[in-house]
Amino acid sequence: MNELRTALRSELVSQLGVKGVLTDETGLFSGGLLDSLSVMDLVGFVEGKIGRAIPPAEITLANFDSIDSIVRYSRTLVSNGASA
Amino acid sequence: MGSGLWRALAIRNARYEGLYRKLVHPDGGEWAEMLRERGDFHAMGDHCWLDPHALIEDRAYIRMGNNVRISNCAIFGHDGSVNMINHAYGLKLDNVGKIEIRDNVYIGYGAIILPNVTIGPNAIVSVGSVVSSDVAEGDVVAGVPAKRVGRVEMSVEMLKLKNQKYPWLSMIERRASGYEAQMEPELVRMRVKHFFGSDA
Repeated sequence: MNELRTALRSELVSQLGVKGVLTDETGLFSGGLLDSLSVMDLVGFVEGKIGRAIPPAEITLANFDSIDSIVRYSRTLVSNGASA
Repeated sequence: MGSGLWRALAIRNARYEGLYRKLVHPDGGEWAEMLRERGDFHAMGDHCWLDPHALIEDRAYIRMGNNVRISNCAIFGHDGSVNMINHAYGLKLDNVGKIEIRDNVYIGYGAIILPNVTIGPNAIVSVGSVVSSDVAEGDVVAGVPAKRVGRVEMSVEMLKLKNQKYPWLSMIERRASGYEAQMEPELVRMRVKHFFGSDA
């Protein structure tokens, strides 16, 4: 998941145009760094990285508002899939 | 002639709906209720709002749930290209379909809704979208053809956060409905000051 963390940071800056201070806890949407139209780009990127589809109902601010929350959610999704 | 009479005429005969719209200027709620009373749609739920200038054809093939809000868009229950095909190929074919708009759906300005689609429940069709396939529950769609660009629940969470930063939030919370004329001048003044840093 450290690889995902690094890749996310790079994607947010280079592809999604995030500027300014970006920590692992920075609120991407709540802090106004991304607008709502970027949600699916971010979701698609994470899906590609973890190799799993993200259920639409789980695309929430709690799961996608920061690098930390995305990594935490992805870890849960992957481990649930592995144990299923 | 009073507005009630024009409304009654429009209910009795669709030919008068243009006059009702032009002379009475009904809001979207009044327009929706007039259409409901006339029985234009296959079904219509409660608390619907339809822009009187929306182009809504083939109303008999449209079923609407509760809290459906339709901006000035276009909705078609048919594909007119069939008429060209029939003439060119000497055929007698039909090409129509139902449109199902479930509970809590908003359709934005300039969207085009084509036949054989189900939208929602709890969905937003963004401005200018062309909806040619189903919009899943909870989705926000945009583009041509319309694709998922977000989720309504996430939009609600972000809207709440955005509102917390509005200096006029307490006024919005005091409103009994979506619009109150006496509050409007002060609301506009506060918004202009927030946006541009001065009242004028």
